Amino acid sequence: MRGQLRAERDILQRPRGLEEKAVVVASLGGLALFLGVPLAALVERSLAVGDGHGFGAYRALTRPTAALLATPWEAVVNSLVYAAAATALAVVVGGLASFAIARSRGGRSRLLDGLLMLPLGASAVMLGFGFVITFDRTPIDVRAAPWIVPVAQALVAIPFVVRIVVPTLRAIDERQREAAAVLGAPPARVWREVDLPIALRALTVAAGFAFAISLGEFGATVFLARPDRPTLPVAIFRFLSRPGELNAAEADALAVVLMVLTAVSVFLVERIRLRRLGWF
Amino acid sequence: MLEVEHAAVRFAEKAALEDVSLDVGDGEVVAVLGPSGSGKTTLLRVIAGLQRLDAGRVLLQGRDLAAVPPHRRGIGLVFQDHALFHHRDVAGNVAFGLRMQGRSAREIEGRVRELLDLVGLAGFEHRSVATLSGGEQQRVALARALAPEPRVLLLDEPLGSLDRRLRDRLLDDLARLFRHVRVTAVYVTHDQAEAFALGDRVAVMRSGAVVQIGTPDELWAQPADADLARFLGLPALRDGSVVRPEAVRVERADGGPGNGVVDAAVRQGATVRLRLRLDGGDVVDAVVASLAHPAAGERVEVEIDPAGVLKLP
Repeated sequence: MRGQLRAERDILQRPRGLEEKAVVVASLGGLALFLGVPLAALVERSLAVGDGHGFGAYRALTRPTAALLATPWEAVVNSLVYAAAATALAVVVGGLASFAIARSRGGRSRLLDGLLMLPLGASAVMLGFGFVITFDRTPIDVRAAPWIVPVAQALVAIPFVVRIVVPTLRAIDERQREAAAVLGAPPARVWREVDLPIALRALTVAAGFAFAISLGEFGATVFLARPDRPTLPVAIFRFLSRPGELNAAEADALAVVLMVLTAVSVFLVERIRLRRLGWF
Repeated sequence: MLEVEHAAVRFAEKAALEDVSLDVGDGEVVAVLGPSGSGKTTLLRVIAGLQRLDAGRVLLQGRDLAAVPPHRRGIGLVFQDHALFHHRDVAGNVAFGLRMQGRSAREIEGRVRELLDLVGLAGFEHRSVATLSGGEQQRVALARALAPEPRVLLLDEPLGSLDRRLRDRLLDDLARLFRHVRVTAVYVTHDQAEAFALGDRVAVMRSGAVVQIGTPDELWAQPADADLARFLGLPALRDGSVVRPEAVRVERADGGPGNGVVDAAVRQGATVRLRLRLDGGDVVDAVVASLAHPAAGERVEVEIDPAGVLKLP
């Protein structure tokens, strides 16, 4: 079928032959070794108390600590709030940009595409550091403003949003729009009936990724988060930069919390992607 | 009802349509027959308003459509590969045009059921279109186009992507449906059998122009030129004239000398088409309805009724 995407289930296939199976086993093994083992070690260490195991480190998360100007638990809440705000921002800006980019393949559209990829190419550390040294005097001294964190995180997430939404929009068959028009839909209605439903599903997936990325964002956030409003990764970093067994244990516990939150958001995205996007 | 007058479309200096005129009466089905690249699809897109005209005009019920955008033309279009809305179920596809007309939910539900009954898909309302077979998708596309009661229905090779058996069955269904709803339609196809089965009249297109318009009988009786005769499946003699198969009588030579030999014998359902090579070198076709027809390689006595020989330009 011309111009239509092949369903994922049509492309997926079981590995055939010894060679293909070896590749699959090797990559899964590599994943288990380099991803699974460290994560498992983190979980184990977060539960270690002396020679035994317990939830002491997790209980400590609700209590004030010398490492932070807030309780670790508040850092979790900060992260969730910042990530939610960053996601909203990334989806709105990235979504609008995607519509503009997908509409044409001309020079201006490619320029916009390239500009939005910049945060990815310039590294988040540069972004955060740049914010700090640029916006440091009135009238744009915004280093202390709480909203600067989600803005930076959104900038990091926008390239991913654009990369997810643009291909989906471009894949819409022009004849679907023509069919809608011939059936009586004026241009704005065509957009609402054909482009928007497909875009919404892509945006939902993009939002999930943006949320997961913002939750774990460290490079830019570490420069911008106020001492009394740390995020999860920043709190982990502060704990680790101080000596002491409890500090290390709380860092491990916070890392596990971050892992679970990220895993849940990615899991939800995958469910939506497979169930509602289907063949995209 | 629908008039196309001197329509011309150029794509990058290449003419896709050249001075095409076509007239479709109220309730008439005109089949547009031609090989791929002959401009059939462009003609449909022009009528639907999806393709701008470089010259000429399209009139619907006497009104010039030049300034009327596609969504206000009240025309139904069945696309070649259906172009169904994949993110909607069957009912959602059929209901689309009705929703655009602002009909009430109850009215829409009733009309969707009526249409699905008509195309033989009763009870398919909530099926996903992705799970349907090619023939079923075709029926949904047809129901979707018919639901808003278009003034003219356009069909672009609707059976093109289906296998032969399914095509024959849908062809019968379509013919019955056209008679039943008495629709004014333009049916584009490259298949002569489809065109003759469905078209009250057939317009033959070649290289962006209409070569001939007439009833199937008229085309068969007097094709406009030798190329068209060949396209219809009539072999031309060496002097350029054409012999229609029904004018050729063939008998077994039965020991006599005969005047030709059977080149090939192909059964086509109830009849057998014989390709005969005459001793003079000419090739003619004959159609016989006998189980005891002469076989390939057999000597035969061929007699040609002069009334069935056409001199063509």
